[in-house]
Amino acid sequence: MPKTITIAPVTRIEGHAKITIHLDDRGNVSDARFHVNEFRGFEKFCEGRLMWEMGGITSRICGICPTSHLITSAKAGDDILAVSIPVTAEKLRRLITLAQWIQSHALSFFHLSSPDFLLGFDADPATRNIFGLIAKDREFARRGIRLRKFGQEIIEVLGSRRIHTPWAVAGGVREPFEQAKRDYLLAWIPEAKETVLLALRALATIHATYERDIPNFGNFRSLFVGLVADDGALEYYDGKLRIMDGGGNVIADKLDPHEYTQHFGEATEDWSYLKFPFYKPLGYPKGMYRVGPLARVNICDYIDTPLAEAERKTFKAMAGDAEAVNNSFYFHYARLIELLFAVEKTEMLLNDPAILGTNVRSKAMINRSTGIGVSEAPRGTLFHQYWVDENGVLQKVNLIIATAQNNLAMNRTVRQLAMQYIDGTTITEGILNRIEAGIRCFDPCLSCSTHAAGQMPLLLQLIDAGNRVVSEVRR
Amino acid sequence: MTRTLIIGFGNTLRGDDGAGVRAAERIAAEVPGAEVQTAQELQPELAELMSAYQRVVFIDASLRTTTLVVTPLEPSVVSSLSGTHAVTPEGLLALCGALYRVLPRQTMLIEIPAFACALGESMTEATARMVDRCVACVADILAGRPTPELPLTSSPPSSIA
Repeated sequence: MPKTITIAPVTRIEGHAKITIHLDDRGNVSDARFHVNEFRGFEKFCEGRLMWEMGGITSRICGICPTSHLITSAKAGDDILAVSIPVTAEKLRRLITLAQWIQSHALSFFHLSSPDFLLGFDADPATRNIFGLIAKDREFARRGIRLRKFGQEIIEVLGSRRIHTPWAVAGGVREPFEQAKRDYLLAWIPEAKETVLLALRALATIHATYERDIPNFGNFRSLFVGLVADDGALEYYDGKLRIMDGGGNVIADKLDPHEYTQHFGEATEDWSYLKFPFYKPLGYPKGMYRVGPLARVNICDYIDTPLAEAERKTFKAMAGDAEAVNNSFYFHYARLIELLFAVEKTEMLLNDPAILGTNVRSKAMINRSTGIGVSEAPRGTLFHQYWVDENGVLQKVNLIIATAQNNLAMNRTVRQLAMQYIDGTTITEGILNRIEAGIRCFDPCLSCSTHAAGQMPLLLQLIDAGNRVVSEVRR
Repeated sequence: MTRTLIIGFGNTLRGDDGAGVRAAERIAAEVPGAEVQTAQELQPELAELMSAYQRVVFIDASLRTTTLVVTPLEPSVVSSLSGTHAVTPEGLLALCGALYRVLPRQTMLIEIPAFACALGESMTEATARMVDRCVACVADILAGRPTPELPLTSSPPSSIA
């Protein structure tokens, strides 16, 4: 008799979601779906607001990556004003974008995923959390919190507050930087670098410990999408779009982000509020692609900081003949490589005298009726497009969020894990946690992607064809 | 004088929900000796800051009350696990103890009644009056004066074995 297993909501992610696992008459997994069941409608209620307000409004989409929305919104504003922003302003925007990567990636690795890795997927869920992690290795946990704090300190120093700073504006940034603040932040660099290197060593041990589990964590070929610099370097603020297939072949390159609608479509399903973006030339759902750390480290030709570049080479060596690392578990590795890059690059920017320039804003009136901003948020490529009237009043808004772009791949990952671990009779808490951990590889931010927040205990239900609950597991 | 950290939190774009932040900003400007942090949401790294203080006062808006309420807080591991966007005051206290082996001698939560949390930056008159009362209450607490809202408080241990 067909049954459905429901994991609702999924824990240690940002926002509300549930997983359903559908079994056939023989108890084999026939399908699995990752449902996002929250809706906030930012795109709609922004209509009628002034374009200048969008940084402040869209940064409220999320408490984790508000700065990414702020910067991308400001870039869409630059486009509407038709201005080139001052050099110092771009460097400062780059600095705060890296700070966003540091705080978000540190949160993902140390707070959300490390409890699984250091305590074990099968550990008691009552202790498989940040407090269990502290009990196991207090210094590791403290360092993780300090690293996240470093990212937040940069944001606060630049933008006067840690969350939802209104500091970046269309045309540049509100205020120049100060030497004393620069020196304060530079003093954090050695500790931050040491912590990331510690995390990388820990992850190498984790790879060995979970050698048998890792091949099941979303290990399939897909496209990878992200920005790269003109010379092919890892990019985070600007650049052009590159698309690579699962064999490591670049199938499209130097795509103008302004033309994103030519390349990407958005499908919907009636069982999730999260859209399903796809690569148009391959259609839906064949045009499945991944964004974020795994994609970015795969598609770039090199990383222009020495320690991160050395790690990238080790990462790419894992790809073997495919020349692209296809296993979603290695999102974690790519995330730490980016974390290292972000710390190294932050040091470079802080030591750049131009960052202390005082010309930080270009001013202009509304010069275009539409503007597009794109940047690499921690979870992947983020697009904002605004349509305005002659007074800058928003007529329409389109936001394409990183997590949504990973939606097809997250569903595929859940399906692969369910098929590997569930036989219809043996459903342990550890198996459920592995399925959730498959989602956590992507570090999804559902607040952003449905434009939702919150979390509740995990519930799994086995439901038969008669819609009766035949088994239930609750945390 | 007991070194005190005031943490006002809430969303100032959601009407009365920003009352904690508004009150903390007023306290920073009007109450001598107050050390103030404001936040949209409580984040784990605040635990390190809290570990340096003998007293921590959280101020938040609340839909559960129609009067200003002051509640002594105890660490709670469970409540801290309710989300990843934000930590609860009790969870933050537990995190402070677990990470730094130290707790403020006294921690309390002041809840300011909220009546309307729609989009907008202005508060209702009723909440604004309670913000006034909160500022006066914190001034009394910092000065060591009795205040009607503060019941007898328990004092958690200053260190954890």
